Amino acid sequence: MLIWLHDEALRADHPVFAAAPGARAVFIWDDALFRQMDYGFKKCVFIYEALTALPVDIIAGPTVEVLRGLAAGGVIHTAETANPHLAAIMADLARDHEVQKVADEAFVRLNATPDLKRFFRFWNKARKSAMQPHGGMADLFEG
Amino acid sequence: MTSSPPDYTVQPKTFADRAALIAHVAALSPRDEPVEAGVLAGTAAAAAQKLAGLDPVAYARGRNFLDGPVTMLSPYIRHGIISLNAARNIALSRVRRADEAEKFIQELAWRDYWQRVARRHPEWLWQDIEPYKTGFMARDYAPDLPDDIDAGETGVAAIDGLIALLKREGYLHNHGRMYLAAYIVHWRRVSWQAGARFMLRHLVDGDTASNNFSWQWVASTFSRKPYIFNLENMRKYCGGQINTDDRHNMPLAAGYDVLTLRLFPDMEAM
Repeated sequence: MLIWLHDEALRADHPVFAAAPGARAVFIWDDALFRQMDYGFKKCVFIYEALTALPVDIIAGPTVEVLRGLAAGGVIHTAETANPHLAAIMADLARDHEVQKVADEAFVRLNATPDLKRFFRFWNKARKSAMQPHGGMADLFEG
Repeated sequence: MTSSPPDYTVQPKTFADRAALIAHVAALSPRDEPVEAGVLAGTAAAAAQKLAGLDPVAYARGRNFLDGPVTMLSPYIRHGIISLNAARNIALSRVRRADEAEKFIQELAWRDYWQRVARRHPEWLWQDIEPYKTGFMARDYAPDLPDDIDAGETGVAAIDGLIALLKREGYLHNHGRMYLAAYIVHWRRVSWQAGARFMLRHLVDGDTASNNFSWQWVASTFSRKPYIFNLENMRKYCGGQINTDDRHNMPLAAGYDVLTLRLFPDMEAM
């Protein structure tokens, strides 16, 4: 069991840690990937600074290769993402590993699939939930 | 799988000082740019400080001003250091009535919205979602960023000021981002993709979904009309840190009717 922490989940209480208690957490410092994603130097510094406070080992190298080596066929837990570069890596790993994508705390609760054509169509449906603590989902957090 | 774990060295997490950390990052991720941190530190302490300063009422009143009470939480939210849920909960705890925090919470919702759009349509991140509504076709926009924009030497003082700020701080106020995006797409007729990539390279909070969809909103490929501004508007919102003198910003110094005709001469024909 392994936690692959990527750069959208840089906090110790992200749900990905609770999903795999006791598992080794790693962050792969993959500069070739960072360049593909247009990360400048200041962003790299910011990410490294955030990592220094987290229970995670930073390992430099190509993401897929390092993760395959470390996970060795076991389950990989990682934070859900909308980033297609990271999603492609997850899909690649899923060919020979079970990849568990863990969602962050929800911001709003929606009763139906939202219309995303324009922001205000979304906002009109999301507003009521968004304007409450925990999005009106406090019951989910108390469990 | 039978392969043994590769013997990759674990990178250090303690340094003598911040300069040593920055030097270590420079060794791991060399770039053709100054070896300097941005204006915001990635530490939990810096995030906590920004959260402590969050004032949703002041934000609602003054957020459009470049020197206004913006929260600068975006790099922390982008990297998951602060969740949208936590930011919203703190905002609500700082106001007497929830609606006093609505403007701030709505901005958080923009991020949630962009993430949802990117999940549903990842192909939209770099493709025009809709045609431009400017009277021009996509092929009319230059595919590459002109060197003078990259260098921050356009000769339009306010724009060069924004580019310098972006590069120096790794951060730019949202209004500054909109001005810069509109200038690049509409004044220079450069594709939003080229501009979006330029901004992503420099923003510490750079996120492909929020960044690129916002560029598409300015460009009009994800909105009903192009976003433009003029020098008078910049003068109102930019404060003293940007040179908004007429003589140094001639391409921007006109009323909206004149600018619309000048920038979009074929728009009426649509």
